[in-house]
Amino acid sequence: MGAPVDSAEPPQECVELEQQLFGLEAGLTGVATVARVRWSSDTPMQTSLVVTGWRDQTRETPLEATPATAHEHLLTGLHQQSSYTIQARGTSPDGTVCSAEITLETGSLPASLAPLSADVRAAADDQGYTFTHIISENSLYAAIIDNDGEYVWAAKVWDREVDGGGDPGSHAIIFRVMPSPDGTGIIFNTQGERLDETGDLVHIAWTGEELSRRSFLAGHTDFVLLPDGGAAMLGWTLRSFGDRTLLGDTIMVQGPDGDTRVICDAFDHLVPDLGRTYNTGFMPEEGDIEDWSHVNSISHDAETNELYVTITANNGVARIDAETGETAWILSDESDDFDIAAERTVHFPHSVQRIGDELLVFNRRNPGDTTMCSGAVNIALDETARTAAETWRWEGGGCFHVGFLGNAQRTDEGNTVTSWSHFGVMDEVTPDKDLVWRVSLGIGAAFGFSHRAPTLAGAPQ
Amino acid sequence: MTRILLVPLLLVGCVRVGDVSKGLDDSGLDLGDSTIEVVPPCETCVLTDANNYHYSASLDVAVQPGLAGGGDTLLIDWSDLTRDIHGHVRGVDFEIEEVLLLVFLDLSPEEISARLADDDLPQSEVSLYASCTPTDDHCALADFGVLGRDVELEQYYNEGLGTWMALLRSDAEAGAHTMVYLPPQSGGVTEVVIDDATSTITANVDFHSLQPLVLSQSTESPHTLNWGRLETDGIGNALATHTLSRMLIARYDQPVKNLETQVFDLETIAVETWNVPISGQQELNLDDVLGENAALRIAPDETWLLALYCDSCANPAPKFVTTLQAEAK
Repeated sequence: MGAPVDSAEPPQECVELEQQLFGLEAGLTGVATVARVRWSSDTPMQTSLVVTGWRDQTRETPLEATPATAHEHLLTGLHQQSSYTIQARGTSPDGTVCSAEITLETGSLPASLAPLSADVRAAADDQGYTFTHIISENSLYAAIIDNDGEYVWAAKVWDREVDGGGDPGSHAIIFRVMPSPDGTGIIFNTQGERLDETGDLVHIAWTGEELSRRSFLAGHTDFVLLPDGGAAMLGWTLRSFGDRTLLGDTIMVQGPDGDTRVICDAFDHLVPDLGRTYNTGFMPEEGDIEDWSHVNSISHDAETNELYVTITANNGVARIDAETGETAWILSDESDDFDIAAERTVHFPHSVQRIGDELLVFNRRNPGDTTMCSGAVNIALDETARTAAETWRWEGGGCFHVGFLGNAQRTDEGNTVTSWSHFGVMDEVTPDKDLVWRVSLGIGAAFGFSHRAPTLAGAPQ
Repeated sequence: MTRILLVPLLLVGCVRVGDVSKGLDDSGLDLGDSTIEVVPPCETCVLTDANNYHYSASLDVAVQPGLAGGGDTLLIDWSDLTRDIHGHVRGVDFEIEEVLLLVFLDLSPEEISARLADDDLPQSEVSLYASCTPTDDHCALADFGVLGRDVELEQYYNEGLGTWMALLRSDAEAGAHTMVYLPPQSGGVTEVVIDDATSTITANVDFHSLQPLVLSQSTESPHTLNWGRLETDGIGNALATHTLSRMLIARYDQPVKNLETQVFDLETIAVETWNVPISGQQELNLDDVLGENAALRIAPDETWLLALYCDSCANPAPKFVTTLQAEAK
């Protein structure tokens, strides 16, 4: 990420205007906060856009990768209902050459997008973008919120009036929203509601159009994009035990060519406790099926090409080879793989991230037990000695009892971003638990998983 | 430029632009110390908070304790319900399409009602949010799920575990149709009966202290209306203008004072209405809505209101209401 341009370091003075760079124009796209900007230069030139707006901040887009005379840029990262001045700049033998300035007024995002209230204590030039989805009774949005606590992008992916009645869960519920690796938009996942339905990864352009879709049969809840261009997704599987049918989980890996294989099946690694009755109704159209393993999140460690998943059945986290599906260990009170310093260090987990010799886990805790608060915890691992111990915990400054979804993520700066899901709160805290950023929703709206990215493709920095 | 303005209905008598005048309402009552600054008629009109009405409300919601630990048998029944919280009679085809069950661990019924009335209840206070899609005039606790999934809610229905609230909704109307508190208590009932007396709302509305929007009679340029600079709603809460989804412009055959008791019926009691979807917009051309010159349609002896609604918000009261007038010729 380039350094922010502030008033102390203004862009270079223009040696001339509208001669070598000219014809700057901008228009809003299908998303009211994304503008298509075009301009020309008389000779091939690498140029950028200087954008001044929100609280008079001046930021600049990265220099174009290749010289050109016809220039186009999809400008993202803008706030709705805001005014921006835009100027194209380039470098010629004469010095910094500039286009004339133009003014862009962004539009309004859809009315049914739940309003945010923000408590932002970060520095004004601290950028970051949180990808999430906004759940309400009548609509689902994929959305991006910046470090000012403002929406910078949103697209409706389900609408009760358009897509029919019933709960969002019986239609196109999405869970995780991430930036697409090619910088053209976002990717979110849907899930199959039955074993013969697909969970899809849907690629939406910044301008709002669907670009592509890749499908995983019986895919559900969470996915991760892999460095080779493939993806891994959780999947449903069933197994019968006498007159009982248990719902288990798989991990599917799809290569860049679209070939999908199941690398791991929970029934091959864990043994159901048939003395216990598991919750039913999790697969709405199969009311008697018991929800057994309840694997509910997946992440990838690029250094080792290993996957990490959270498992409700044994209150565990598993480390799995992304190529072979072999399980290296399971961190759980019910497993002998680790000597854990305290019980319930992993307890109803819903996200895991590997960070060096530690794990960051989001523990929902038992939602029926109000004596325990959901929270993000650091767990120090010694994989040689096979010991594990909690070293840090964040419970949101209060006590939330998260009943579905919820996750935590460590940023590059070492802060922790947590989604408190149906409490309609996401926050970011430092290692000292100082609040940096917090956004909240009004009654009737909730967040899905959160995914923080330090930059946004197309946005001035 | 100074013009003599006649501001019918709201003020009695003539005032000058720039004057700050002590106002009289249409019934001739002295408005006390309230003063109204008259602004010039506009063609390029920008709504401000000074144009907005004032709204406050109180909620009266029954508390019907349900039998603690009896969640397996607890039934919420509304077969006796004939009216909604605003007193509107249910039509023959009217159906409750969804029942929401909210659990507040840290708030009492009184606190919840007050904060709902003030539109000041964040989602973070809601510890559990489940729903039931009824097939008849009742839902059992076991019928509720989260995002279509069974969460065995009944096992949590135990004394001391928060304030439980049921809200009945219909797609035919914004906000809740009615609501009831059903805290789990030993000795509570196994059937919570919702009827017309279960919930009522009393709204206090002031349409007469606001600064009216006066349209210029000029035909030099179209009458545009921009609402992007509004900062607060009628309650005084921060307003996210992107949530405004609908504009109602309506003509009435009664004084504006009479409308203050009918804030939830501004559309149905009007003689003539224009409903304009405004999602994704901040500005529109009023002449496109009302005619070639919007001001010409507004007669001096008529009452006109312009209201902005957020149809996806929990509170069905308009976020913004102002009186609409035409410049006196």
